Formats: sequence, C-alpha cells, structure tokens
Amino acid sequence: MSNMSLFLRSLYEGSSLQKRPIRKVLICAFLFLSLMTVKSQSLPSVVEGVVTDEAGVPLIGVTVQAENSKEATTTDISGKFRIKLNPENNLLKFSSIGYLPQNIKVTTSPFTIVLKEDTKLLDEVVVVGYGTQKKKDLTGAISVVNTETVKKQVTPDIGIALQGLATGVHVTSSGEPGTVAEINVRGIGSMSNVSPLYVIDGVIMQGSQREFSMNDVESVQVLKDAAAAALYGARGANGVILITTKKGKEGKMNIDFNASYGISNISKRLEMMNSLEFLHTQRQAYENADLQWPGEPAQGQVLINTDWQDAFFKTGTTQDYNLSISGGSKNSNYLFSFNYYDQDGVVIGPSHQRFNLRSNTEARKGIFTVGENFTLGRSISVPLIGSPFVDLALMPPIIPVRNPDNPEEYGYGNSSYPTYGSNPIGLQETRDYNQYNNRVLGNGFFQVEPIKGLQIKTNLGIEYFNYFDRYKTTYKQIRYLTVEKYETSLQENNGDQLSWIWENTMFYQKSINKHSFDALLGYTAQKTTSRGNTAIGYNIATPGLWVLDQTTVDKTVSGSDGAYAMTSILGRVNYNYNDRYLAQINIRRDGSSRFGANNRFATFPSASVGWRISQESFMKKINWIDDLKLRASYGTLGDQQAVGNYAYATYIYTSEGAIFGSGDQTYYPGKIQKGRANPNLKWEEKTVFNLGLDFSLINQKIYGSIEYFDAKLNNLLITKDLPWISGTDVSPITNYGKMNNKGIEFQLGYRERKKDFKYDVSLNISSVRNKVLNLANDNIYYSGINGVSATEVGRSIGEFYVLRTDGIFQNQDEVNNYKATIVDPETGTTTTKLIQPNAQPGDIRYKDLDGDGSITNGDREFIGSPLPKFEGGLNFSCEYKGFDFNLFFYGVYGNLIYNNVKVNLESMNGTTNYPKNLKYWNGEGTSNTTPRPYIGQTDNTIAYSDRWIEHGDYLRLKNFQLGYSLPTKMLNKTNLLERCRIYLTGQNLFTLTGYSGFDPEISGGSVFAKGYDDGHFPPVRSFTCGLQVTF
Amino acid sequence: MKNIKLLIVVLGLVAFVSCDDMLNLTNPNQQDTSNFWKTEQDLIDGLNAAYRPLRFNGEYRRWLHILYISRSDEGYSTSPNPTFQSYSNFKTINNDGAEAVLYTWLDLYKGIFWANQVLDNAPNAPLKDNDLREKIIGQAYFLRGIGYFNIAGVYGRGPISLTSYVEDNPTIFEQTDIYLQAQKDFEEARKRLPAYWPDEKDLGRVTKGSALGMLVKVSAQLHEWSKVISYSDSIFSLKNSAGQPLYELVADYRDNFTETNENNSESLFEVQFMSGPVNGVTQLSHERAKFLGLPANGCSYDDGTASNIVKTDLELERTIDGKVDPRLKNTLFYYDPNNLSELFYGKTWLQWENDPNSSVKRAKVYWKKYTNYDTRTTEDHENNGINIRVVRLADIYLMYAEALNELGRTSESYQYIDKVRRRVNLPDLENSTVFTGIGNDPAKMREQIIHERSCELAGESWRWLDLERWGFFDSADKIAWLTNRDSEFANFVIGKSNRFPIPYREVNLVKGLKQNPGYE
Repeated sequence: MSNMSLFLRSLYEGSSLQKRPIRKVLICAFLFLSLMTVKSQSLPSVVEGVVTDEAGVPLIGVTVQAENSKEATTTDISGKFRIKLNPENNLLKFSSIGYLPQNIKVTTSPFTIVLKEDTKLLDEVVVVGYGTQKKKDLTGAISVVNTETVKKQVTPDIGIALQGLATGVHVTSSGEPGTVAEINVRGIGSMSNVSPLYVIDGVIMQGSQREFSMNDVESVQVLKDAAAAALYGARGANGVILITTKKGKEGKMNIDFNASYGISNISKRLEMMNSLEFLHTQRQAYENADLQWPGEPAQGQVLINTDWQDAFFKTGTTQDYNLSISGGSKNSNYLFSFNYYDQDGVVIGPSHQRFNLRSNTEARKGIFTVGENFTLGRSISVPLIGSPFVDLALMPPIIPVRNPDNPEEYGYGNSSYPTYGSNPIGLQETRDYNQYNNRVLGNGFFQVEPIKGLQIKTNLGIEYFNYFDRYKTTYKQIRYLTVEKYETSLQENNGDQLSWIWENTMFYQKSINKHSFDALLGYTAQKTTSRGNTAIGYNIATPGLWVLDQTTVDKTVSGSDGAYAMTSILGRVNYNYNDRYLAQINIRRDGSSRFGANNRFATFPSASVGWRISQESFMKKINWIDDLKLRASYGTLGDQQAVGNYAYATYIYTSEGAIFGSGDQTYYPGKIQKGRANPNLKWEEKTVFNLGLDFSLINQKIYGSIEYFDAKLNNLLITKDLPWISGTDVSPITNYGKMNNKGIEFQLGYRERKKDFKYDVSLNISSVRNKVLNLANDNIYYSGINGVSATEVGRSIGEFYVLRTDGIFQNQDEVNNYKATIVDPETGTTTTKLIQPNAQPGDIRYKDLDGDGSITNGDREFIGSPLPKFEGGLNFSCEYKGFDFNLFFYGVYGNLIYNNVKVNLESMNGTTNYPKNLKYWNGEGTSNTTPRPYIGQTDNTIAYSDRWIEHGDYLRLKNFQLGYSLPTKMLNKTNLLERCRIYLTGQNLFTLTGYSGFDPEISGGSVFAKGYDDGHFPPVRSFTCGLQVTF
Repeated sequence: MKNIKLLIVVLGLVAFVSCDDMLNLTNPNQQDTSNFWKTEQDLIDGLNAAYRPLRFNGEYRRWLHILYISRSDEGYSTSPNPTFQSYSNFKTINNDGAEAVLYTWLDLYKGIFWANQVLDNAPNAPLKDNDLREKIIGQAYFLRGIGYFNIAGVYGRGPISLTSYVEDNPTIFEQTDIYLQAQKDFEEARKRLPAYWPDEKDLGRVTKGSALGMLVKVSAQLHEWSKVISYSDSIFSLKNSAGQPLYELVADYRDNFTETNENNSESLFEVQFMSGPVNGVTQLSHERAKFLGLPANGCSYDDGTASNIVKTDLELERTIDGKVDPRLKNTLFYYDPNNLSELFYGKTWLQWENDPNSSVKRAKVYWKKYTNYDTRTTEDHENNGINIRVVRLADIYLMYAEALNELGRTSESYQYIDKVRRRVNLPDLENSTVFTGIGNDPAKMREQIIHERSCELAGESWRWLDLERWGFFDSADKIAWLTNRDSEFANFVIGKSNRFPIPYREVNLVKGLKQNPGYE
C-alpha cells in the first residue's frame, strides 16, 4: 500500500500542472488494478486517496464526507485526504465548487477520484416551447440567462433583474416599490407597448405582476426569433421569457433558508436654490416683466428655507426571507417554498410587501408521469401618489412643508409666492392607499409514454388573480388656490381574472443510426375572463371608519366584464444528422376571439437550420475549437395583444345625457355612438430572419455568440387618428403599421481556473435599429409631452423633433440683426424681416431652419432617438476558497432624454424654484444658454426646443456582491448545517452619466413617446446583507 | 397491454378535437350599434345624449365663454398660464397645446355628429307617435345648428356634414355658408318645435322661441336685417297657455344670472346646468366662474379678468333716481368704498384683499355674472349649476333696434332700447342727459346700440360676435378704438386675429382644409 502511494506521489511531484496523457493512462491502470484486487482485500476503516481534475491535476480543498457520519475532511495541497469510513455503507461524498459532486462507494484504499468540471455550457439543456433541447442543438435565437447573476440582484421582479444579462433584451424600470420592469425583446416590436410573453413552467401568464419569488427560479430563457418562439407564436412575436422553477432533486431532504436585509436611498439630489437665491431670481423675473414683485419679505422676516428633497426622501429598507424544503426519490420529487419580501420605499409613502408559497411535485410510475407546479402569492402595495419628483423641484424653498398658519397644516404658497406645485409630502400623507393582490398560478400535467419515444401529455395551466384596492383620502389643501370640496373619500376597486390554458401535445423521438428526429403536435385552447368594479363615496360619517357604508354623499359605482379566447394547432419537427446538421420546422394555426369572424384565423410557419462546423472531420484537427455552430432561421409569428377584446364593432355609450326640469333639475342619461370602428382587423405579422454563430474555444475557456437579425413587422395594429370633424376623438385601431428592426447581438466570455481561484468575465452588447415603414395617418405622427416626439416614415419610432436654439440675444443689436430675406414667389420682390421681432436681450435665439423669417413648427428638426444605439452588460465573477465576488456593469449609449422637469425649472417664467448656481442671462455676456427670468410667456418658454433634450448615456455599477461560504469542515462540526454563506450586495452603487436629472434610466411612455423624464421614480441605491444556509 | 396503449393514443388524439366555437364572444359591456335606434326610448336616449355637447368644455361649460369674452374688449387675461393668456391677447399660435383651439373644434363637431345620428335614425325608427318623432327631430336640428353657428363664429371655416357618415374628402365651407347652414337647421327646428313644453319636466328643452332666437342671432351675423325683424316679430307673437305673450323681461335684471330663476320668461335659449356630480356623473355644471371670477381662495383662477372699461361704460349714466346702474353690481365684482360690508363668498372685499391666499386687487374688476358669490364660499369645477342664458329677450330687443336702425327705421329703434333701459330704471333714451343728439342719425344710433349692448350684455359671450358683425375687425381705426379699451388689441392683426386657428392636426388630416390666414 504505502509503496503504491509513494509511487503516486512521485508521479505527481514530477508532473505538477502539465497535461500528460501518459499520466492518465497510469492512473487508469492503477485504478483498474485496484478494482481487480479489491475483492481479495478487506477494507480498512480509515481510507486515503487523491482527488484530481480531469487533467489529472490534484484538487485542493475538496470536501470529503462520509455518508451518515460526522466524519469530514478536505483535500490538502497535493489533493490528498484521509478519512474514517462509515462501516455501514462505505460511502464517501466529494464536493467542490465548480465541480460536479460525486458519491463513491469505497472498495479499496488508497484510491484516486477524478472530479468532472461543472461545465454545463455545451450539454446544458435549455427549456424551449413545449419541451427541452440541448443547447448545442439549438437553431433558433435563444438567450440563456445566467440564473446565478439574476439571483444576485435584490429585486422582487425578475424583469428588473434581467437588465443587461441577455442580449437583445432591453429592460427599463423605476425605483418605485412593487412596480415591474418594462421589457422590449429585440427592439420595439409593436406600435402599442406590447411586452414579451412570460411563460412560467409552461403557463402563459396574462397579468403583468409576476408574483413569485426569485428564489424559486431554476432557469430563465428568452426566445427571440420566429423559430424559437414559434410554439408560443400567437403571442410570442415580441419575445418569450421562459421561466422554469426549481424542482426537488433525488436524495435526502434539503432545507434551504435565505435571509437578507438591505437599506436603500436615492443616490442623487438636484441641487436647488435656497430661499435667498430664489427670491433674488424671482424679483428679477417680475422686474423683467414690468410687474410688481409681490414677494418682498417684510423687514426682519425670517426666511423659511425648505429643502423639499430632504423632507421627502428617507432611507428605505428591504427584507427578503425564503425557506425551501425539497427532496426526492428515483420516481418522485418535491419542493415547497415560502417567501416573504418587504420593501419600504426611499421616499415618504410607497411600500411593497409580498408573501409566496410554492409547491412543485412530480411522480412517475411505469409509463405514467403526473406533476404540478403551483404558487400562491399575496402582495400589498402602497403606490406613489401624484408626481412628487416634479413637485420637489418645483416647490419654492420659501414655502414650508408644514404651515401652522394654514388651517389644514400644509404649506402650499400664497399670493406672494404662488406655485403650481402640490405639496408632495401632504399628498402622500393625506392619501392612505393600499393595493392587495392575490394570485394563484400553476399547472398540473399528466403524461404517458405508451411506446418508447412517444409521449402524450395533457397540461392544464391556471392563473387566477384578484385585486382589492382601498384608497382612503383625507382632503386637505395642498396646492395653492385649490380648495377641496370634500372632507374625505373612499374608493374601492375589486376584480378578478381567471385564465386557463389547456394544452395537449404528442411528442415522438426516434434515432436511426446517425439520423435522429423528434416531432411535436399540439392543440391548445385558452380563455381569459375578467371582471372589475369600482365604488366611490365621499365624506365618511364617523372618522376612522373607512367603509363604504360610512360614506354619505356622491356615491358611485362602475364595473365591467371582459373575455377573450384563443385556440391554436401547432406542430414542430426537429431533425439532426450526426450531431452535425440540424433542422427544425414549425407551423401553427391560431384563432383569436379578438378579431371578427372574417379574419379570425391565421397560419404562421417558420424554419431553422444549424451546422455544427466543429463536428466536421476537417475541423477535428483544430483542437482549440471545441464547438462552432452556424445557424439560420426564418419565419413568421402573429400577435394580437395590441387589440382590445371587442374592437371590431361599434358600440353605444351610455354615459352622456341631458338636464331638464324646473327647480332641482333632473339628469337624464342618454345613449349614443361615440366611436367609429374597423370591422376588418387582423393579426399582426412579424417575419424574422436570424443568423447566428455560436462558439466555444480553448477548452471552453472562451465562449460566445454573434447574432444578426432582420425583423419585418407588418399589419401592425395602430390607432388611426380620425379628423375630429368626424365627430369622434376615439381613434379606431387599424392594421396600417409597418416597421423594421435590424440588430446585432454579441456575447463573449472568458473563464479560467487557477487552482482554487476561478473567474469568469462576460460581456454582451446589443444593438437594434428601428425603422418605421408605414403609419396609419400621414407620414408623420406627433406624440409625447408638448408634442416633442415625432414618428416619421423612414426614421426610428418616436424621435425627438424640436427647434434648434442658437444661444441668447446679448443685446438689442443682435435682435435687430437677426433677419431673413424673403423672396415673394409671385412678384420676385425681396423683403427683409426680423425673425424674432418680439425678442429682447436675454431671450433665446432659435434657428430659422426653413428660412421663412419666423420661428414656426417648420423650423423643427429631428435630433435623435430616445432608444439607445447600443447597450450592454459586463459581468465579472470570481471565487477563491470560500469567497465569491461579483461585479456587474450595465450601460446604454446613444439615447436622448427629454427632461420635462428641467422644462418646469428652467423656462424661467415664474412660479418654480431654480437649480442652484444656474447662470441665467442677467446682462450682456452673462449667459449664452439660459435666458433671462420673465414672468409670463415669451419664446423662451417654447417646450419643443433642443434646450430640454439631453444625452442619456450611462454606465452603471448595477450590482456588486461579495460572499463567503463557511468551510465545510467547520460546518460538519455543527452536525446541522451543510452549507452556510453570507454576502453583501450593493446595487446601483454609481452611475456615470452626463444627464442632469435624477436618473437617466427612464421607463414608461407609449412606444411613440419614449424617453420623457417627467419626474419618474429613479432606481435606488441599496446595500443588502444576506445569509444562505442549507440544513 | 397493447390495446391499452392503443387506447391511450386514441384518447390523446381525441384531445385534439378543436372547439372553435369558444372564439365567438360578444361584448358583455356595451350594446352593439346595429341593435340601437329601434325603439322610442332609443330615440329619446339618443336625443338626451345629443344635448350633452352643449355642456362640453369646448362649448358652454368653459371655452366658448373665454373665447368670446376674454378675446373681446370686455376682458383680458393675466393668467399665469401663458397659453391661456394667448387666447385673450391674440398671441395664439398654431400649436396643438392650446386646449381652447382643440376642444372647441372637437366638441362642436362631436355635437354635430351626435345630432346627426338622431337625424339619420329618427325618420325611420318604428315609432307610433309621429308628433313625438317630429319634436325629437326638431330638437336635433337645433342642436346641430348651434354646432355650425359656433364653428362659423370661432373658426369661420370648416366642413359641413348632414349625415352621421363622414366623407373622406369633405367640401370645406367659409363663414357665411356655415352660418347659412345653421340658419337652415334653426328653420327646420322652428317648424317642428313647440312654443313651450307643457310638462314641467321638459323645461329646458329647446323651443320654437329658442330656434327663433338663434335665427335672429345668425341672421344678424349675416346682416339679413329684414329676417331679424321677421324672426323677432315671430318671437313677440308667441303666446303662453294663458294667451299672454310668452316672453317678457324679468323685473329684476339679476334673475338672468341666478340658479333660482332659471328658464324664466326672458329666456329663449338656456344651456341647462346643475350642481353635481349626480350618481357619479360629472360635468353637469359649468366652469365659467372658476375661470372668470373673483380670485379669492378656492373661487376663481382669474384666468380671464373683466376690463375696467365695462365698469366705466356702466357708470356713464345714473338711474332716474340718481343711483348707479343696477347692472354694474350684477355684472362685476369691484371695490365699492360705499359698501364695505358687502360679502363675496362669505368675506368682505377688504378681508379678501388681506388674505394671502387671494389676489383680489382694488384696482381691478372681476366678472360676477354666473358666480355663486352669495350662496357659496368657494367655486369648484362641479358645483356651479347656474344655467347659461344664451339668448334672452333683452338681447332680441336690442337686435331688433339694431335691425330697424340698419334698415333706416332709426326712429323705431328707440322703443326697443327703452324697454331694456326701463327695466333697470334708466331714463328713456330720448330723456337721457348723457346721450343726446342721436336723433334719426343711423350712425349715431349704431354707436348708441353698441353702448347699450355693452352695458346690458357684458360678460354674456356676445361681445366678440357683435364686434365682428359691426365690422370692427376690418378697420384699423376701430382696432385702435378697441386697443384704447383693452390694450391686448395692440396685438390684433387684421385679417388674422378675427379667427381662431383651426387645430393643426385637422389641417393635416382633412384634405382641402386650409389653416386660417396668418396661422399657417
């Protein structure tokens, strides 16, 4: 024995870190010999051995445990260990981060065990529509999201966590608790804010709130092209986000407990003027307008100096607790989990609380398999009221937050200091709004495999959701001159939605020699029914009793029902020749109740092919290429999300009526047709060509992919503006829209392991170019705040279209010299004309781009898009001994933002506060950017100029995490814990940007009017510490 | 075993049987238009809805008053909202941010579309009571006429559609033709409408008198003076159930602007408003007082202010007993040193002056008509239920006098002017010590009528159309005169400012619809 071990040691000492094939042979031979001799030898109670990787390099720090025993140890620097066996079973467990764990029944000593690297990359199984595929066999465009990085984000919404982690997936969100992210897969794919489809364990979700715990997520895939999303085609045209939840694993029961606690705040303040500076500026504004300034403080008056941001912002907290119990046997598995999440916002008011319970089980017997995945969720949200992020900046500092002189305690200005702002603190404090949501989401399935390779499955998915909102309002005056009519009001909203989807599929798989194929045939039917009602009453009789029964006046109720249904037949065939040539064909026929009988059904085919070049014999010699695959797909998908349930008919409205009668007149309800409809609505179509190259090089150290796509979006549902002379301002929906999205996605990663130091760097970059090809009305469509966005055929959707400023008139001569020469087309006579005759020194000069001698709409020009030209994520993670570390950067480049808060602050026309150190014009040469303050309207207040447009590029350290796992050796002593990790996470720690508002990440707005910062809730900065233990 | 497996396969296939019937869903919330206009109740309901646009923001709930009052020399704006100011000071630009530009156009054409639905469907509806049908049609004609009348008055240009179907390329008409269409509609209404509604619960529906009143107004705008005479005569000859003249001036001038004396004997056409909301229905009230009124806390935004010239006009003459014209106190809020205890919304003038939440200024005068200053302490957007008297008899008298004068029958004008003057205790015009030497000079009488209308109808949304009828907008001299009274007229551009711009979007969307001159 000892000779043998000496022999081994000498072998290693001589070869250390190099690959030597001969060494492998020797080890194998040795193992073989050992096995041959084991029968004749009795096993000692203490065994020893060596752990190596597949290259034969000894592994340090591998945990070795004896089954059902307290005995445990770790390997030393030469990979050696020595441990006492449990004599009952002789089992040893080997585990190490980055390697697949192994259980070995020891039959000899000493022995060598080879741990395999846990490199899922190539053999990784990817969830696709109605089934799974090996990643190497994929031919469509699918982003597999790194679930580990997803889970390092501290957020209740998985959408928010996806930002920057998958190519082609554009995510924006706000910092308001309980809100969900806005996601566009491969650009704006519709003309009506359609989001991608979420499919959870095969259930197509209807609601937007995704009430389930991030802790339960096993994998996330994003299906991006027609081929990949084909089986969800009826709703998949804007991408599909497939989420699979964790299942129990074979083995003993695992109890996992995670807890985290975090604090958060708003990382940026807008520096505003103090009262003295504000009053100084205000006085000038009045003087410039030849008005008497009402704001002169009285002699000896102590100036109030409110910092509205200080008053409104606070430290938020986040708590997240998750307990999961899982396990399984050969024929069944189970997982139960409970999650509690609580977020208290970073400003006065909003919060979000959520409870989740999950049960995932599965059992098999013979040819039958049955299973379920269900989650119950309840959330309680307190929403943000009004637009406090505008009011904070707007409110003059001279106004106190609370003013005991006002009968209703809040400060809101007066005739000396008028303002249009509402007291943002008063607004939150007088509103006690709660939103309660309950949700059941899940599926049960039954599968038989009557013949080997043939699986028949029926799956019933259900999503039931109900909501109850209770809005208690105590009216107090919070805005200058706005006196409330009521004392209190109570509004309750109630409703529910039931969606079911029944899917029946047959799947057959067969391999004959080098040919293998599988086929899927399915029929699905789904229906969603919803109802909702609202009741409002005013002036509750007994203070504190907030029920509708206590309301006394002006009680109203309203409510409506809705339903829609879809049926689809779908089919898919995969063919694979020798793991080298891959092909897939999909076809589906969809019907939707949302279209009239004439256009109800449509058929959508797609196909894709793949060529694994690395499998070709001529490539075998190039051994630094592990895998190289070229793939292409082409196909069409349909969508119907943009159209309402019954939009193809015209209806009678009952809400308008007349007043007649003497004395106390009577209101007589009426009925009338208000809108005009289009009976020929049909499916939107999205035809996508996709070309992709996947590679994995140098022992899978370098990996990545390049992807190109070209999507043509036809028959897009878009509302057509009818002229108002038709007597309606309800724009009917039509299929006139047409767009094109082209893009490139690039992903590159490098990973390396050096002894117990392991790291992985990955970078992804996506770029999409949108081009509008057709609109419903003219070739141009105005939208957005102040009509600043314009969508023009031939350009990207919703570009900013504004006047160009050209500095400030410094003196009257400059005004007088700003002239245009106009030629009368009929007479040929020329006249010169002052372009801005009303301008005064200190006013903005605009460019007269159309040369007509005056500043009009015709002088506007396109200056860029609110959509980024590029966006990307950079992720770095490493592990060293028990430590793990992760850094995640996200950035966007090339987008513009319309800063509407700035419009409020720097129009210089009156009743708002101003940014600190604002250099406004105050005499010749004092400013060439900000005009003179002036109470009233001048051309300086024009809201559609480039003054309000800023670059929105930013680079953000979105996530930073440092974790430490306690050594197994230490844990074993406790005889309780199997794994224990503590971590510290920082989110949104810093943002590099030139943007002057709170934050350049802007969500919301219609697809035609993106990029408006209208006082949005900025993403918050947070620090979280957490604990993960496994029992 | 093999059979069982086969059975499973068969069962699996059965699951594929499609059930496309589940895709036939009907809207559970709303009635399809194809099932409507079938019953008497449908027609009544449709007509009720057709009355509603009168209460839209773009019409008599808000913007028409602001356009007709603040733009004229009666009013001006110091609103902190620059767009609002621009309605009054002729700086309105061709900009779709201007609500008044947008909603007045939209709401007037909505009203036309809704009235057209009734007009399209009423003749063919299976109705037994043909009399009821005619009355419904008459009301719908009137409501359509109001739409065209104001399109002509505000925009002076636009398409005319006489059915609820609209053409893609409608013909565009100019002001005169649109007035003529309104005139036709009011004629059709006049033929069908009763002189009065016998049932009290119908009070407020338009009547023959309403149609005749509007016919007087539209004919005057068209300078069809003999028509003004004949339509007015028809009004004077209408009788009530007791055989007495249907219309007579109310004794108290103030009864024309209060909630308690609505639909009175002087009123020909009144837009019905009530305090709300009622069962959740909002916009039953008007916002005139919220925008044109006393800038006391919670009362008016004072976006449009009365010109001091209105007070000057009303102070020119004393009543026969030497008092201030009672119309002054009923028309304006103003600082009255002789009556400091007077309460406005529960406080005295001085209290409001000293209230930091108010901007009541001694040097200014504010609109008082149609406010709740004596019954409430605030004005909100839903609580002003005072009916707006669009056409009243005093106006018809003055129109009659004007028509007589324009027809050269100046001497006959006096008696109709005097009817209006006597009600407020002013001396007859012949006996006036202030206004002398008019004689039978039509030019002098015209000036006198301008003054009389200014005093009697101040703040009643007619001044703008009066000025247009009198040709004030075409003459630099007259604009100079107006600028003297309201400095905002300094911005008035002849050939442009007499019209409001047509909404930008409409010019884009409607082929052949040209923007009004000067706003292109």
